[in-house]
Amino acid sequence: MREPERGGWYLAMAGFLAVLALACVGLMVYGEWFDRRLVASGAVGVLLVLYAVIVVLFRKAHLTAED
Amino acid sequence: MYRRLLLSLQSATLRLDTWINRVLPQDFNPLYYTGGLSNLFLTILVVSGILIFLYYEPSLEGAYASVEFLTRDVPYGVVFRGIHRYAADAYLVAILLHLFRNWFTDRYREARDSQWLSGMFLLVVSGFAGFTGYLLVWDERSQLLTSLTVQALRSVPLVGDWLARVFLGGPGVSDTTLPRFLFLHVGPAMTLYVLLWWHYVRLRHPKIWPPSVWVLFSLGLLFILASALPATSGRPAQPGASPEGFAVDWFFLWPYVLARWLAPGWALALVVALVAYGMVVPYTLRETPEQRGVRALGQAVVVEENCTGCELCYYDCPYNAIYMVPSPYPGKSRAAANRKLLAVVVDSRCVECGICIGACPFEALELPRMLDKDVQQRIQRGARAAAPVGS
Amino acid sequence: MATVPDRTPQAEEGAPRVVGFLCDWAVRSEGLLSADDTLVGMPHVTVIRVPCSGFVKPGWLELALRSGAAGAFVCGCPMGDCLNREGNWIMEDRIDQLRKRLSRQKVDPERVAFFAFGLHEREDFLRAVAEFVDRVRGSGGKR
Repeated sequence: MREPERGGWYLAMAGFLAVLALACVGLMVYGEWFDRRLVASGAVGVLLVLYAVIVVLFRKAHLTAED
Repeated sequence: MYRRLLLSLQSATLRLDTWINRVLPQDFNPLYYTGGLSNLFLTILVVSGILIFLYYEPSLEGAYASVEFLTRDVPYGVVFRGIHRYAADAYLVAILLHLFRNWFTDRYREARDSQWLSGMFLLVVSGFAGFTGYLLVWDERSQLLTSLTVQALRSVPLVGDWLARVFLGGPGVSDTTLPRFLFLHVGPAMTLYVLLWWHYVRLRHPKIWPPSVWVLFSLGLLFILASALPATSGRPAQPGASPEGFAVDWFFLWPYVLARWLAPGWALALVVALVAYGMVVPYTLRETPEQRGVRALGQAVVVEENCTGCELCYYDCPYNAIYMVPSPYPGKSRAAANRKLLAVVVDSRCVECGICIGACPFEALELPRMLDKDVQQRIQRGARAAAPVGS
Repeated sequence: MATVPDRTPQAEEGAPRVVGFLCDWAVRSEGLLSADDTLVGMPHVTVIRVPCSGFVKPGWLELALRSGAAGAFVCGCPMGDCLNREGNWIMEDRIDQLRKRLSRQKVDPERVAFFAFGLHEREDFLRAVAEFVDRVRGSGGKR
């Protein structure tokens, strides 16, 4: 499915998810600071999932290529 | 009828691929990496297992308390326990996907049966390791599982009592029981790596790791699950108590659910029957040469006069079915006269795919029922034929 | 959803001859080929069924071009799903190398191609073959 005109949408989405990922980092710090460790580890999980989605979005936006 | 069922399962599996390939880039399709995903979860299990092992005390009095200590007092201990637990479920899902995909796409036939057999052993040992993990917590569920298992083992004819004694580390639950359970959990887990060697030995470049997308996603999912649904123990096991029900992990404990309706001995017999059937799958429904059609052109044959020992076929064979040996005599053609090595096809591993023929630049390999000269004839007929009849 | 292009034999006088190889695990081949190896509906295209796309020698593709074909192709399984695990990657590499060799010999490298299609992708395969035939039209007889 090659839709180069959607490249912008994929990148915008990736940018949005990257902001969410930063929020997760904030949650990790919050959780560790206030001893709410399940919040911190949950945020680690969400961060990893967001990274996975960002990798797929980059590939679909043709920013990265198959090796 | 069984063959038609298999064919429609094959068709459905491949159609699922086309849907997934529309959404994800093709090299990220998880169904092409079911083996790698299994290995990923196994690695996570080993790492989280070692961390838990640091705190675990295998004794009747200390086991439950040590797990509680890990869960409540060790920073992120509850997370590692949860990751261990959910990775085990994910691992079993991945290996079942691997089993069913390779079954429905014919990847176990003929010389590929050793992968299937070693895979069946891996499945059984993995299931057993997962089950013994539930015993180590030594809560009420562990106790019930133990008593059901002992009943099932005792009902085995001739060796039942001996099996039960090996399982418990003695005539009954005693101080040697939990160390025995720990051994029955970690020992099989280590055995998995030996079985994996067998599983890989006939493959070149096995795909043992999934793409990074899936590593990130799987780890993330495990962290989320471990945080949202923390793994907990039931009530501690009391000596002499006989607990009734427990929360079921369907992946590993389904034979014990059957204990509600079947005597434990029969549940064990059912598991054994299923495993036995699994072991013979490659030998059921053998295809006739007509059914295999163009896939049954005969095992590759080395044309020794022409082989120069260049090793290209050796490197290309996906099944390690070609070996290079020191050449016992020189070849006939000029290029082959000075060879140091000679290619040898290992018949027990050759699946008749012909990749070696495509690799050889010296006409030193043939598939007996599709010879080079016949292919050349068909090519020339197609390349230069006059306009077709009827025009 | 494209069907087999509607070309009668009469319409194909002067159609470029194309020789292709189709692996057994790729597209479903029932009803696809006639007895003389030609594609039903595209008699200028010869398709030889092989056990794996990796079975094909690059020399055979060159032979096709030298014998008068305008183009030659190999169709294997979807990348990542070769029944024999690596056959389609290996064949794709061989065709890349062949194309480089051909361009050094001043032969248009676009005359050889590699496709990858699965069991359910017959229409996509036929469409790709038809597009390939159009691309190599006029290339026959250069060597």
